[in-house]
Amino acid sequence: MIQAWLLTMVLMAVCVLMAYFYVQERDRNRAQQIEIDKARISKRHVNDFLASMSHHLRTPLNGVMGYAEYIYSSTREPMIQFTSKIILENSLLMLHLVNGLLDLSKIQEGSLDLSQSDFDISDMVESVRALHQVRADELKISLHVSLAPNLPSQMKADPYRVRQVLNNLVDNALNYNRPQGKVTLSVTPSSNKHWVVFSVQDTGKGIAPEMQETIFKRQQKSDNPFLLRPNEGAGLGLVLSHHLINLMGGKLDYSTKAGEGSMFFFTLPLQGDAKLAT
Amino acid sequence: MRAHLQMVVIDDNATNRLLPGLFLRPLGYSVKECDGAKEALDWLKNNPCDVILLDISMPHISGLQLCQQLRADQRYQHLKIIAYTAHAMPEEVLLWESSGFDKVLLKPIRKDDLLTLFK
Repeated sequence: MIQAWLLTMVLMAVCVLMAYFYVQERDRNRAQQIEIDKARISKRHVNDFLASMSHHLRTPLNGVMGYAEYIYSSTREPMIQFTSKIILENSLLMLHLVNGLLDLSKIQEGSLDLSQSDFDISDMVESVRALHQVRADELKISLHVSLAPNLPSQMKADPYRVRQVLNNLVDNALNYNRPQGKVTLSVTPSSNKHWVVFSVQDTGKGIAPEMQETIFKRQQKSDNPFLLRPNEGAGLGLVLSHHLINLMGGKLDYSTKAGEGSMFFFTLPLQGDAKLAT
Repeated sequence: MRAHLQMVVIDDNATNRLLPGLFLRPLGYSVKECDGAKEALDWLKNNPCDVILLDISMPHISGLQLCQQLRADQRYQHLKIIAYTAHAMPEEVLLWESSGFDKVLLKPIRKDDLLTLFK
């Protein structure tokens, strides 16, 4: 009799304990789900806000750039050509800034989504070269592409972002070069063939020692915040490129020699980053 | 490059609506500008057209809705419809490309990008 009673009590205690753990687990799962939902909603809000900002900034820029280009291309009056070209070039700078700021905001909010797909490496590099050829000719800088003979034809990454980084590096290599200089865009496989190494070499002055430490960081306020160093842009491009390559599972770095030039290079996994696989 | 194509630019923003025509008319294209889907649909009923440059964010009927409406209409299967938009985030561009648009022309536009569309 006592045994039956004890058994009943033990069973009841087990049931109560199971119910208790079940409720605890359920509440924990709910709390986790709420946190996940909150993060998802917050990410969506950030993305919606940034997309809306991008749209609102690009719409008037279409008017500024489009009509400046129209004026430029429809007049032979040198002064009007000169001034409309200035409007065009400055609005182009502004467009780059807008794009860069939006990307940086997305990265900081953790809401930058990367795609991953196979693309042809030589097509990518050739299209980057073609995009910069006119500017290189204007600056009298020779622009070369060098692909290693044992380079695989395809790799897996976010082609939009790889192109963005290459464009940025080639743009810098042209802007910070000397007249009659040279820019070489090279791609080689790593020795174990698991990585692809992209590099952009220029023949400029090299990176000033005081710039080297912070080149991939957002500009900090210095003691003299209103002093602009020569050739210093907003500095968004390299900061952004560094983040993008990190997010794609690679690394961006550089080497530089005063008076001889700099080389920026990044590695990316040939088969894409496992973390980004969907 | 093919000249004498008939184009329709549909955009509620007058500045952006008039811009493509400035570049294209001197090259021999005929360009009709419409400030919204309703005007465009009325015009398309009675006039031949080859290419549409279509803004996305418009009042009443969005460019996306109009594109899908045209794609569902037997009379307009030959039309080349180009999204002419400042919605330029990569995920937005993917949406336009998968929603019936033949191509995407992002604002701000450059003359060369516009002309490349018709090569």
